[in-house]
Amino acid sequence: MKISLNWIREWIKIDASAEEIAEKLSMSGLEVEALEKLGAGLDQVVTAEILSKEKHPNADRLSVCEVSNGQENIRLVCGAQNMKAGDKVALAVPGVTLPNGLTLKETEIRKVKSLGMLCSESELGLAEESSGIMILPEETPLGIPLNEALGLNDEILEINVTPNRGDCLSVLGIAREIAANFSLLLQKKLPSYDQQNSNLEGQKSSDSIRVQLESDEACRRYCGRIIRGVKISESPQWMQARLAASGIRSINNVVDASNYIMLEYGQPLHAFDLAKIGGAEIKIRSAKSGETLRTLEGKELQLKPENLVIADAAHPMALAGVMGGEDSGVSEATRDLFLESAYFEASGIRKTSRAFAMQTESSYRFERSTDPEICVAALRALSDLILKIAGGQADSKIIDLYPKPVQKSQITLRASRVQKILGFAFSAQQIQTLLEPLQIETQVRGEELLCEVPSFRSDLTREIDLIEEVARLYGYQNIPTTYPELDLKTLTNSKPKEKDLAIQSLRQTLLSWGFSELIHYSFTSPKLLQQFEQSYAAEQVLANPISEELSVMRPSLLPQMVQTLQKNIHKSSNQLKFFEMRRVYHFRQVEGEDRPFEESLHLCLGMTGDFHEPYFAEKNQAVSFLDLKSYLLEIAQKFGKKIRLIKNNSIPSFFMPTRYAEILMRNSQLGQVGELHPRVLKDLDLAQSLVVAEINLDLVLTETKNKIEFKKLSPYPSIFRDLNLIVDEKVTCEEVSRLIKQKGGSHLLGFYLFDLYRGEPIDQSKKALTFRLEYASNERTLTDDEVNEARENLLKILNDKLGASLR
Amino acid sequence: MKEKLLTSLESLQIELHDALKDVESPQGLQEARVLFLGKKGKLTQILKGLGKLDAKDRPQVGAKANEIKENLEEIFDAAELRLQAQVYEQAIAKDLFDISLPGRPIVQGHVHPLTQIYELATQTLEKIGFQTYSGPEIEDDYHNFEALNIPEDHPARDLQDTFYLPGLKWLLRTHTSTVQIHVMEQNEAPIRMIAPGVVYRADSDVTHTPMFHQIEGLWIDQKTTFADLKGVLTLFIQEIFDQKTQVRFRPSYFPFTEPSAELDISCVFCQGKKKNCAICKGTGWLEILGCGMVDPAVFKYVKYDEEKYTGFAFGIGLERLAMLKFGINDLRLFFENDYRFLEQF
Repeated sequence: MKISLNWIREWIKIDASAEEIAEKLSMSGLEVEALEKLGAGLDQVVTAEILSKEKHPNADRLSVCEVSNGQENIRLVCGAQNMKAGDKVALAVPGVTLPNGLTLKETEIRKVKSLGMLCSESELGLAEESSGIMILPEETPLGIPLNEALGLNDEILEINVTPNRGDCLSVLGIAREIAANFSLLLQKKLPSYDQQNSNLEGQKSSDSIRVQLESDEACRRYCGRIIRGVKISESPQWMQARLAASGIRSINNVVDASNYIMLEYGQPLHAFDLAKIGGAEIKIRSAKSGETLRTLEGKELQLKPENLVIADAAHPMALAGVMGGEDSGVSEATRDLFLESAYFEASGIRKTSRAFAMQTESSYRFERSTDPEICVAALRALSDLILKIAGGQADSKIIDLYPKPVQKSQITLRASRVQKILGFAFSAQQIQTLLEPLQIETQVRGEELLCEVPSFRSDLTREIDLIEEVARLYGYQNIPTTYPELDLKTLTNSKPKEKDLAIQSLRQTLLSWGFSELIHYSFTSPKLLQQFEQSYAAEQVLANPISEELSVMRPSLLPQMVQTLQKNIHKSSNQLKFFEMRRVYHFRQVEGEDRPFEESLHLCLGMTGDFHEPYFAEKNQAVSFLDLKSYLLEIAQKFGKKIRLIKNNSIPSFFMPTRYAEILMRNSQLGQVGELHPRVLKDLDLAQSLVVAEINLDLVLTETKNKIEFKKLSPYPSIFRDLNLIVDEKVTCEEVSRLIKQKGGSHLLGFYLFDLYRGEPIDQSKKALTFRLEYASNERTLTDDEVNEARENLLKILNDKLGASLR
Repeated sequence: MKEKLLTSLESLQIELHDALKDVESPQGLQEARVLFLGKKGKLTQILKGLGKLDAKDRPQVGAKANEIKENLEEIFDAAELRLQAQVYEQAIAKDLFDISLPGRPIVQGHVHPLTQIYELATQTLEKIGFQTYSGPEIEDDYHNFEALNIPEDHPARDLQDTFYLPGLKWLLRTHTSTVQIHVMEQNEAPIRMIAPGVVYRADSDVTHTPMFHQIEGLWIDQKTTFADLKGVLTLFIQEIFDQKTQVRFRPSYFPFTEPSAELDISCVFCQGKKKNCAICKGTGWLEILGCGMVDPAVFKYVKYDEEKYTGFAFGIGLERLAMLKFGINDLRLFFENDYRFLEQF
């Protein structure tokens, strides 16, 4: 909320600077987000009148003007065309620096001396663009600073008022807070009105309107007053300036006056055109089904019974507390007014304003609770203001329906409880002194205080609310800083959890392998998911996404991985290794479970480019399926899990079918790995292969048995033998390996594939696989003979089962 | 005879010195070794005369012969070392190695800056005695709002633009405070928990991303006070930044805490010394986290004895922390996954 400090100073006499006031407010809970000095730099520019205007003797487009600042006459050359003798203008003389940074000097233009400059709005920083010089209103006095002439010698506080402090949404409210913080008293009294002895100036009550309060729960108080014979016109300049400083657009004098008093008192007000109130009757009632209302903004609303309306005999005229209707609003033709000042229940207004997605200055205040006791005062202030600026005569009577007055909160506050919460002892008397400036009336009874809360502080209903006020007024900075007592026994369960440790450790491993971490949004685009064949339920599409691109709670990390690889290749680097370790989301309705959503931790890996960073002209190889497979096996092993990669019949079409595998762990699906299909790479405008994998990490990290079993080192040397096999192309490495492992003999310690060869002189349908076998015994040195025999046996089996022959 | 032998032995040393003077290669040295110490070498030749000596003179000459042999071997060893050193020197002279050439690149991955801050903050808080919990991101209204004392039609809901799933029964949590409720529902006091995690708000502009990260903290016991909250959070901030960092607590409002506070820290860029500091806007202070004493209404929801227990809660935005810690100027960079950004961490 933006509020003028000059306005506040009408309510309290305070010497403190704007900065000091802002600091104090911020430290007491009303955060001042900005402090704007209006008309900064305009104080050196003065108002002046053009006495004469003549053509420049040596230039067609220039003129020479004689201007007066009220004390002396100044001759100057001016290039603008829009002024004439008698106009009031903004004058800057040599030595003055304008808001745009220009410092004026005495000049000579085509042999005529110019001793000043008439300024344009853009030169004064009052407009982005302007044509010609600024012409001021006729009545502007001469020789006064321009900021004063424009009502700009003010400072504007922009305050972030928290939702609990509806009472601070006004000049009065802020003035009250400042007064409490600086121990001051309010200067201005609220206008009063005594219903019994009504003797206001004005016409005798004409009883021409009947007000019926039907919904006295939703509307606790309804006040009104009639003013006749007003003249609708533009508001005075000073009022427009104040409204503008608070961000409110000027409409006409009556509407502006009600906004002005709302800003000052915090009480939303509404003016009806009396002539438009059908049947001379006003009803505050629930809307009827089927009723409609055309708002001041021209929006047609379909009303429902839960909406409170202000109606005449036949139709709703306003959506109570939110917005008036077009038909009953004040127009240029309006002569007589009915002014409304009411107290509506906060929650009802909020429901209605939410239902119609309409938030107005009025609904904003009602939602945060207004002061039921200020209705009449605000109404009087409004009628006084209207009479002053729009003329007319007010009824002497104020209508005030207040069947069940709102009770002030009575709260018991224990000094011991203040200490228990704040950790600092206050006596009941100290507390009393702290609460007094807030107009909280207290009676001390031993260690307890009986507190009565003023009607404008609807946020104070409980003991804890008062404790906060004590802390706030005492100053958070004055409360000591201590450390809590800690029971060491309860610390033992604060070890980091196994799973968190596993995740940290895995992240370190991935880093050491050169993978960098990505974090994508959890929501993604349906198109992208479709492109990578990731299915999702309609239930996981956001009802109100920021955009379609960010609308689906992702069921997979893979599509964004591919997208990010592509983007980075195009932008900067074609050597990339990425991982993302985040949640994915699935809609799954499980019988007996309330939550239909499953959130599981996935790991996605993506690689592209050469396996090694390029180094001089060394031979390098592009990353492949096999590289990523190694990483996956290593990860599984790290957590004591066995995984298998299998060929699958249902291969997603974006993968290269020969370079794809499903990953299984104990026969359940863990994920997938593969190289992208060349067609997809082409679509992505990529000339290099992408290898990606995604696994469900939750499955890998459950019941991790990372127990290390030490095997004794053999003191006897190993014997190595090569096995150079020729097998059919159809025989896989895995088949051969499995047989070697099973049938290699008791002394076979280990083996690995050493070479793979295709080509001459080997038959086209065959390939050569060379394995290196390691034999050893824990008991003795093996002899050549027994090793050879083991190898012969193995070869025979390989030959029998797989048709393998020695090369 | 004896004298002659002794003289010959003595002169062998001098002969060897002379002989080795010109030797410049390992082969030359080997030849000299054969010439002096070989089977038919000079020493052997001289020792052949030993048999013709008197038995009484033999020990003296024999001892001398051994001494001379050892001396000769020493001379050879020294010469060999000298030659070897020459070989190295030549090799070094020929080696045109340029140490300024680049080495084989070692590629280390980079941890996302948010993860780094997440771990730093989590570990710091765990050291202080908090235990880490996590909770679901897709939540119901009860855990995200109601149990945190934000009933339907409460204006505070305006502060948080919520993403909903179809049917509006489920939503994306707008803060990690939800985990407080889960933990209190499942555990008895005392509680010392933190919950780091991702949260969502339907807001997207230069200073807001629709997804961001928070760490929630909750400390409940029988004697926990606002003064303790000040102590623990000051400790935390000074661990994360440095001991010189000033903190100030400013009254604020959150529906689930009362009294509530915003914690500001002294500007980590200008220490309040620059009037035109772009980070603190010349105020000298940066808003960093929200905190407060757990509102009794929350205790009612989770059925804790609100008279017996008190506690404090806080929530920190990790993006903000990371931006301050690393001097990152644009929030959106965190989620663009541009390698040129990531590789700086």
